Amino acid sequence: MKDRYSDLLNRYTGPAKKIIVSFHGEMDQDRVSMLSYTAEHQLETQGARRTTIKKTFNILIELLQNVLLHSASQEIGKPFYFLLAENMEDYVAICANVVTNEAAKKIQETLDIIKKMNEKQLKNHYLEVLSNDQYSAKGGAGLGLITVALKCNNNFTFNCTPLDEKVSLFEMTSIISDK
Amino acid sequence: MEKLIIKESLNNPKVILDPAKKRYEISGKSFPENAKSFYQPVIDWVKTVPVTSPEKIRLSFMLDYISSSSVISVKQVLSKIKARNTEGADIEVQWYYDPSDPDIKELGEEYEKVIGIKLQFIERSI
Repeated sequence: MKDRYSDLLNRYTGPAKKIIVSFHGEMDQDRVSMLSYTAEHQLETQGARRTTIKKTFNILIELLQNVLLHSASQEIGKPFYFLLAENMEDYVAICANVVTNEAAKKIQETLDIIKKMNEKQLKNHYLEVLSNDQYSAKGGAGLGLITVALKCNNNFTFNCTPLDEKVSLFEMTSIISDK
Repeated sequence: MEKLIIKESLNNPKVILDPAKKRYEISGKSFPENAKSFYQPVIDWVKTVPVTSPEKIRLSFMLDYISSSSVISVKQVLSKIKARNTEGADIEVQWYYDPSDPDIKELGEEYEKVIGIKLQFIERSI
């Protein structure tokens, strides 16, 4: 995970790129707050549009709380890495954590379905899930990934890399336009 | 109907449900780690609102930000309010929104659609 994080930092260092917030370590609720408020403050300082700041804050909370709720329990301390960067005229939010292979399969299936939806379908899907408001055993309700997709106009990518026979590294990238 | 006060933190809203002062409000940012357990006392409180000779209660939601798991929990609070009103209580929900941020108003409209509850929309500027 450390190597991947280093690669990521290198990838977002250079002309027309700027790292706004980045972190590699263990996750807890204070980190969710600390990283999202820091990102919000930094975006305000550099004059991002108010709607962009709101959208980004929304996406960051969902990505970071997903780490908190859905990291593989065999991973002590819920390791993750996170980066918010400016890339040309867009903002890029990347978050990765270790999930069970079973969870990875489920996330991939969910995101494959979401990715094919247009805005109207996404909104309807959101309302459908909101109508069936059962929490999963871990406290999530399935709305988080749809919320991320809605906030970034479905401009996201993801990948799951198996680390061994039990767990995979799940990485999600959302691109937020500041136009 | 007892008083329920929960202090605001970096990730949970302030909750003031105070019958003596007739002040009923949930305000701030809502993304607690466990939204379900955070909002359970609020649901339990709604269950205690009198249904015979009820006094009107105006409960204000003034949320700046709400995470997806809190969206579900607030829906459960509103569903409980609707059920309690059906039994005879008189709780009016005031839904405050910032006109420059469409998300919170939209969410209120979604709740109306999904739950079938009527909200009082009130504009505010932050």
